[in-house]
Amino acid sequence: MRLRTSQKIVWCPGCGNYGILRAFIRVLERLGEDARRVVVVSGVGCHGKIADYVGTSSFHTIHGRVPPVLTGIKLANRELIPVGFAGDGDAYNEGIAHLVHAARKNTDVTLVVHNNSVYALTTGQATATSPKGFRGKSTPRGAPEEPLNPAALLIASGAGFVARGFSGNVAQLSELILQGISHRGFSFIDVLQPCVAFNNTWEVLRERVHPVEPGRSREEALKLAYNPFATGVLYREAKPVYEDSVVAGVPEGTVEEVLESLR
Amino acid sequence: MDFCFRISGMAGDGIRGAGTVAAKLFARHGYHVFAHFEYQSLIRGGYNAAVVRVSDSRVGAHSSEEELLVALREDALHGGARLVVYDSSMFTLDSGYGVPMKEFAEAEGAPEIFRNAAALGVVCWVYGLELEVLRQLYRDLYGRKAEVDVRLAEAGYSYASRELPRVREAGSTGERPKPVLTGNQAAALGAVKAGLRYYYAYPMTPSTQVLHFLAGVGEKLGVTVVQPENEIAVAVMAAGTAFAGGRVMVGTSGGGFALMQEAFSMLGMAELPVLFIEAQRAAPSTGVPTYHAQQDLRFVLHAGHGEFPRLVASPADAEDAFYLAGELLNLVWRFQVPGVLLMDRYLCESATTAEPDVAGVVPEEPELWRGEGEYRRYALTPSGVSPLAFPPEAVVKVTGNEHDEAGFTADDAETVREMYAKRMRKEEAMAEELERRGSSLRWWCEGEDVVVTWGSSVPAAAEACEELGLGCVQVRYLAPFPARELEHLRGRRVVCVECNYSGALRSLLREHLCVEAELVGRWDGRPFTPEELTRRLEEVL
Repeated sequence: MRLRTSQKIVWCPGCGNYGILRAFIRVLERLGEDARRVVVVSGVGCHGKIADYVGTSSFHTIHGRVPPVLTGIKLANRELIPVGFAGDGDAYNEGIAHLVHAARKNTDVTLVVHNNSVYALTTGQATATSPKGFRGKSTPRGAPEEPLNPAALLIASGAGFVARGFSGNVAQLSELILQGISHRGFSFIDVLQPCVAFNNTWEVLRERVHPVEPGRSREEALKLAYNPFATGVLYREAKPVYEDSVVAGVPEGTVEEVLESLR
Repeated sequence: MDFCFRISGMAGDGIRGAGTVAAKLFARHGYHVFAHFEYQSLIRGGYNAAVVRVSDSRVGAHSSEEELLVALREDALHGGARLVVYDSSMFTLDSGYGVPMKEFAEAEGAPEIFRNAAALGVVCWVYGLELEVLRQLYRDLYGRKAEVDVRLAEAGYSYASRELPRVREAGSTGERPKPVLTGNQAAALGAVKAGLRYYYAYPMTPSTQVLHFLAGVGEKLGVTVVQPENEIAVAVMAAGTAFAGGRVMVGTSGGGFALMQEAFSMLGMAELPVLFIEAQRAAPSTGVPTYHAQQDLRFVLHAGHGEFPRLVASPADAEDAFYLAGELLNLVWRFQVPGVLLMDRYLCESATTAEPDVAGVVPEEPELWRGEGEYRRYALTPSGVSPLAFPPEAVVKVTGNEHDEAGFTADDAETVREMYAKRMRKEEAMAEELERRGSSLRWWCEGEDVVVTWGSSVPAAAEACEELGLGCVQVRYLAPFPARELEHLRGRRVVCVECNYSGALRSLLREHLCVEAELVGRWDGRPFTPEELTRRLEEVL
């Protein structure tokens, strides 16, 4: 299987998405034969094009809906390794309900969020992670809302694997994604990245991101998460997975028997 | 023999349970039954009724001519029956027959809701049915917990046998009892028979019972049943499951289906087979949530933005729901399109005797990829249908964006033109297949002037048409619309019967056939009865 396709990449030069793609290709390399079982799901935004660039099976879905697609795939075939890619507008605005419930469900899937704190493909509006006062095209006087802390939200929602990476640190990021895939349950990786066109945070990020060791409790992990530049696995906990409790086994009865019971 | 009676009370009185037991009681005596339930959007109080029609031939509607009312409360004295039986431990009436049902329950130390078993005992006596059949029915339904119901049924029966006249000597017909099921249960079982493996739904009346029913029997039948966080998740999760090869159905009502529109359109573009149950209720908005309507036909025909082919079918009764759910599941897989089983409140929740030919519905395999060369999910073919493969056996790329044959995003004019036309020509292939199967129409009776109708209005309309010597045709498939098969309607007198204001089916006859039909409509949340339709059809013809 070719890990990269021959599709022309149309991200801006310098875009953080390149780092995420490189990190993921490394993951596929390290998965070896298992890469055949990987299914990529992407949402809508610049990040979504990643489905065209990776050689695995893929499902490029609609805005905000990556988590339910991941769950639907896993329920249909537990041999598959669903890996989702979403944007911050995608996961933290349009589809945030799914994200919180994905943490509650704990299906064995992985979600990587390209968090550049701006809607880029729609040419520069504030998202849920844009800083208060962010001047975008729809907020010329500055965004009035407080930004969301995705890692803290996911820890509070009960996620069993919460990590934060940086698109400029491909070695660490590929390790985080691989660990996320290896973790049995819902694995969430928030990736800090610049948008070179509408929110160029390269310098700040490069200067301030730093690795941390995972919190030993949810409370400790929350404290780590509140530092927006702390990277690494923030929290990890083994929990029963959703599909084990909901997927029906082989039929033990027939429609005829059920009809008979309704006589 | 053909008669109708009503059991009434408030929510919390066990009226639905009583109606279901009554329906099964007559079914076990060999009768055909149809039980219609009236209830409101509340948990305790209000007005609840079960209207049970019994016949020695097939029935698909209740009747407006009720001969008996069993009232558990004074403010539930509705329905116009000449004979009233009431709970005399709750209130007194100048006429009718009092039975102290609450006292019977108190004597057993049972909660008030158990009065309904005493009421069933009374029904059993006044119709000359066998008490032992009722005892056995309770034991079959509730197992070891049935004994209080059994004793109360005996008390009601015994009291009635001393104090009440017989209304009819119905007795047993000698026919083998038929199953009693709702349209919801029938649709669920038909889909399972056609290979359903996944059912996703967020609760919404009148589709909720499909979720409850499949949650109960899913493990036994190998169906995974999941209630996700909202309707959007339901539809999108189903898309993921279909992509990975799982036969999946989702269920909702109009409001929930509105939330699924973007996903529905994605299924059209990505060519993913998902079957939707859209159970109509009185709208717009939250409308009259527990009442009946057929207002969403145009909505489902045009659901989702953009143009793409779809299958839409609407069953007339429980047996039809069984067949159409099964056929639709097979067809959405064969043509890789979204499909809608358009149900309505009256069909969904009414309980009726039904004996579908179960062996007649089987899973049909869609065209699969033979494993030659590199897989192209959207390979161009004359029919528009591309062979299917699922990960991990092939690299499968699907997308809601326009795409090339391999599934990569495309926006060049030639690719867009070709792929768009590929999807759209499936419409012709589907129309041909439906004609071949003879599935689109069902003539319930013949006649020169014709009533054209759909959904649960059909059985009542067919009865009225037989009475009046009219033809009656049910349009089972609304998309693709069977225009060729309906061409001979041109030049004839046509009346459409449907539970809406503007005549959705009538507008389709105009659009596809230039036929101007009269409309007999109803939009007050109540279904038609045969008697009402006989009168209204006489007015327009």
